[in-house]
Amino acid sequence: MKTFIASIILTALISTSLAQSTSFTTFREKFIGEEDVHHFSVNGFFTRMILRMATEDEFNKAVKEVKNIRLVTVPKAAFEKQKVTVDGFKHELRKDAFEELAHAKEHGKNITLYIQSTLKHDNRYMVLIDEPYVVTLVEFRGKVDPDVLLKNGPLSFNKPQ
Amino acid sequence: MKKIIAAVVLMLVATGGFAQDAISKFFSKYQADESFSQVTVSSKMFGLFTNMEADTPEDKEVLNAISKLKGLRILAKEDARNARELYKEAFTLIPMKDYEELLSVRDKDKDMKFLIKESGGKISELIMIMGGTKDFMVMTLFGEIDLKQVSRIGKKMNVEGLEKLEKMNQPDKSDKQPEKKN
Repeated sequence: MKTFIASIILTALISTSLAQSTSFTTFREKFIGEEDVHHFSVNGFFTRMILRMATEDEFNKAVKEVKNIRLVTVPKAAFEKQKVTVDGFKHELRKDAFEELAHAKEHGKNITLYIQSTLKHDNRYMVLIDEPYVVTLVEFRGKVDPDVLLKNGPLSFNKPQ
Repeated sequence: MKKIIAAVVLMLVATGGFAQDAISKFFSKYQADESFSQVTVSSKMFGLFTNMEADTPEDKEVLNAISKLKGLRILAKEDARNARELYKEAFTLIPMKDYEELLSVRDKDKDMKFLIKESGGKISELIMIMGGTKDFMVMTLFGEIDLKQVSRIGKKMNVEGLEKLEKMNQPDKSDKQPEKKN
């Protein structure tokens, strides 16, 4: 029985690690152990549950097929300590077949949305938020309605009052 | 031979410069200014709409129109005291000879102008410039543009101002036949 449980845990761990893109793993591992670096990961069920509680119905419907979501926040000081830059990471993203979908800049905050396409339309999305003191990287996988990406993403600042 | 190569390279560079969209100069001038908001949407984003399923024939037309777009750029400034000056400046930086005026709107608190670039009967660029008492915005949409769908695209993407083009799709009331009185 113990062997059976161990094999299930192992399979779960392997599939979780495979679910991450190379660039996300590289980014997270680069800053492991640095001060004020936070990381969390939730599966699709929890993502949908959080969205159901926190957001509008339309958004909730659009992201029902998201399988997992990961987030890591890194202070800019850690970038300086590791002698790396956000532009350098953007270069890594391009090497990892991430293509830029949209970019927005507002109040000193740079938000870039990327996509890594797959044949099954089970795309991987990456949101890079570059603020004056902190960089946040969000990765999620699954089917997302592009309409919602546009409305709630880079153009949301332009919503009529 | 070297001179010819140099001339060809120079021509290519120059053509590349002219091929930039109309608000590139604006972007270059104000990209470092934190008081401006900037948005860029790539053709890849518009291409995602190709795979979407439409519920109605009307939705299908909009999705088809969106998938033909190649890009969108917005430069905006909210709570700007110099909004009117920026509005005027926009017309000095945009090569107006390449564009035709499509629509001009004057509300009590803002001016709006829509410009188009047309070649071979197809619209390849739409520019919207808005300057009010407080806000300024310049937007360029490029690709293969279906004017009939632009206001609907605007609604889909939450781009304020494009709904003004909806009026262009409506039949002129003066064209209607007068109703017969009994």
